[in-house]
Amino acid sequence: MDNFELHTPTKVIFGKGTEKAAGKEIKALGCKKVLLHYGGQSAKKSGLLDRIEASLKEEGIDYVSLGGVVPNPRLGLVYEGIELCKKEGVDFILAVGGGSVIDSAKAIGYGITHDFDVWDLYDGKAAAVTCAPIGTVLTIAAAGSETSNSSVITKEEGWLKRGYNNDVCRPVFAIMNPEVTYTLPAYQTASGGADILMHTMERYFTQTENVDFTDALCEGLLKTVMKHLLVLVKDPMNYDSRAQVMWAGSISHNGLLNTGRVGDWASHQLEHELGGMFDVAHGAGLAAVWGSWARYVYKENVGRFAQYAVNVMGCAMDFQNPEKTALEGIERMEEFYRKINMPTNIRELGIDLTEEQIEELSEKCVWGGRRTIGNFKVLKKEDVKAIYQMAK
Amino acid sequence: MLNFEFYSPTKVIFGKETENQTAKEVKACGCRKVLLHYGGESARKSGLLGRIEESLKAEGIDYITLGGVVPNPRLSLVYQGIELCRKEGVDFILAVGGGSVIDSGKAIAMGAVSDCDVWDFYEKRTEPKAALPVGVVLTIAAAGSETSTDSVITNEDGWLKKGFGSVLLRPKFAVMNPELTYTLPDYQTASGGTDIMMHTMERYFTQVEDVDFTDALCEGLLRVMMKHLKILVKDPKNYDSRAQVMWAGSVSHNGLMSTGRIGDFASHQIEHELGGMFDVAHGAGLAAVWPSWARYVYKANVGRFAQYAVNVMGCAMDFQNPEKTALEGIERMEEFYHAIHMPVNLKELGVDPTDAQIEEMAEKATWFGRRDVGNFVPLKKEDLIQIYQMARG
Repeated sequence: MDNFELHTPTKVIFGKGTEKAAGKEIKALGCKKVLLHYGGQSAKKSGLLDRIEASLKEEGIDYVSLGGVVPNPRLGLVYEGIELCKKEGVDFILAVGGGSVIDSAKAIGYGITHDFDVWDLYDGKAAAVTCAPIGTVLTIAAAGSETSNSSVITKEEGWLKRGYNNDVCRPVFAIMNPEVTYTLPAYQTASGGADILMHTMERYFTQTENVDFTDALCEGLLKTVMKHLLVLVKDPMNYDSRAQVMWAGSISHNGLLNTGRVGDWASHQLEHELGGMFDVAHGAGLAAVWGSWARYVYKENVGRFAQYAVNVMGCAMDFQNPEKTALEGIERMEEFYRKINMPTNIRELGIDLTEEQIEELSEKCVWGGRRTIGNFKVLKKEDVKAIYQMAK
Repeated sequence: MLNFEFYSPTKVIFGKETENQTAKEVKACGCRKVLLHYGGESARKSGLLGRIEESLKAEGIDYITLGGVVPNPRLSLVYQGIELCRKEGVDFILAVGGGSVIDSGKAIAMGAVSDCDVWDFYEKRTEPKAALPVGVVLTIAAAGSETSTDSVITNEDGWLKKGFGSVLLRPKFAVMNPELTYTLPDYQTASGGTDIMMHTMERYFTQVEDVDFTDALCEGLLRVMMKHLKILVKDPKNYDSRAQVMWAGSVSHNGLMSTGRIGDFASHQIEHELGGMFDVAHGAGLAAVWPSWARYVYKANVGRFAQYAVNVMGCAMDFQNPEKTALEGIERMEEFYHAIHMPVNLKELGVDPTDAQIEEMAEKATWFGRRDVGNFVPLKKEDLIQIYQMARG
């Protein structure tokens, strides 16, 4: 077990009707002018934005709105938001949406408190020392961005998708009402669920030893989320399943499951490039590459993959041949993805990769050779290429 | 699953040699005058206090010391600390110790900036509006007070042991170095481990339905705790077991495990009275009363006790007779307590209360009829008398 620091200051307000607390929470922070940041029209149509605007007005809090965030949120809109906030004297950003909206809000939060180009953070050229306070009203259980320290932004020029992590951007509060997620399309529910699972799996597949406690928490989370994603395929308005998945989504990515261990994150990097080039749903993209990543790397630590197979996927341990168990666990995971209508390869994701595209994805993924990806097995460009080939 | 709020802002700094970062963290809070609060002389003899004092000096932070906190920390020392803080202009409480020291530190933190008697908070007569910031260097994995909202203090006048919780009391930071717990006596390690497990068990035994996620987290925590407490019986200097137990101790009581559910906490109340009257080790006291509580209440939800038996204690489910499985789970828990040399009744705890004393404890636990104890089954004075009687052994 490694030394670690964990600081999760986000106040979580969870359950039915909790979105009405937004205005009061912001007022308690002493903020006066809000940027109400959101995505498409669904938040408006569902009445959610109206309810939030009403709660702001009730507390006498002024606000400006900026909608239009798309999946794989764009740098262009972030720049627009920064400009708007500076002009209007915004001192609080309220993100109403999922990971894309929250990530965009975090980027704006960095932008209005620093003089340099905000992209420099994502490009690894600068570090943030502060961030404007962010609040979230979550509408999809997926990214975990509502309590996490990460933000992922896509730069349209060259379609570069990059992440930046810093504790200063952790939201001050996260309002989570599972009812708000009832009307999500089934594909988005499943894709969000796959993302939640992957946040824990990336942490689970570690080479750090003696991490029993976080292993047990990870295994419990994964089993619970799988159980309830299967329920939601048939019964999308099941409050309790929506609630388990939503809360697990935050815990999966708030840092707790990472304590004392080094996570992998190769699958995320592999998917980020796909998302940048093809604009796929993040969770579906992760499901499409994970199986190939797993088969490419499992020999580095057969025991861990066998543990996953037994403790998470419910396989019987083959004590004479643990490798067989390890591979069975990967197969069962793919079966699970199919049951929730998620892809298990890139073709099922609706993409037919050319050799040139694989070359380009691999090149970008390792930053033109400036980095390797993953920790379970450290991957170079050739490894990345081989995995994309397997995942085709 | 119920609506909930969860707020756990304590910064955790965990691992080897992390105590050297203490002064830097105090400085980051912008504080200038520290009350260094601790218990007996072991913290000084081990060199820990010396290292922390050096690190405070190196950062130019002034401090005064107040030692002498005992298990079931006393109100009189809290008063003394409050006085000292006011006189010396202390703006930060640094608790170096376990739950007793931290709880005492939290009480001083509230009292130093309040006009009323600090005991009024524990008597629920009034609410604090502010508290000095508290930091922790943890020396025993047990109470979870290092990240929790809670403080339990004993008033010598009548030996009343009472708890109080407020978000104001969450420590700013908690420094946790598992190595510091190597030299704990076996009994304290086991008693602390029992306390940690009970914090999760109190939350686990709920009547709230559809709490799969927190159930899974609770079950995982409990299994890991039992595995590593058994290792520590034989190998007390096993870093990784000390580390699992120490970190589980915080997560067990930081609020995560109660999200969306209502915990029970009857066993804690039953033990609090024992601790107030007989000054027993808190965890050992919990082990001594839990099995009797469990047998008294399990029929109120056999399914949950069966789930505990199967998912935590590894019993095989008797599908024709779940009650049998439920009872087997309680028995296995007693076996586990014995394996780590913890008592399963009052006799083994070394306490032999008279009927009059049992009556008095039951009376105090129910605040002389002003409240019921527990939520799994709300218990009245008569119920408590029966549980104390069952627990006699």
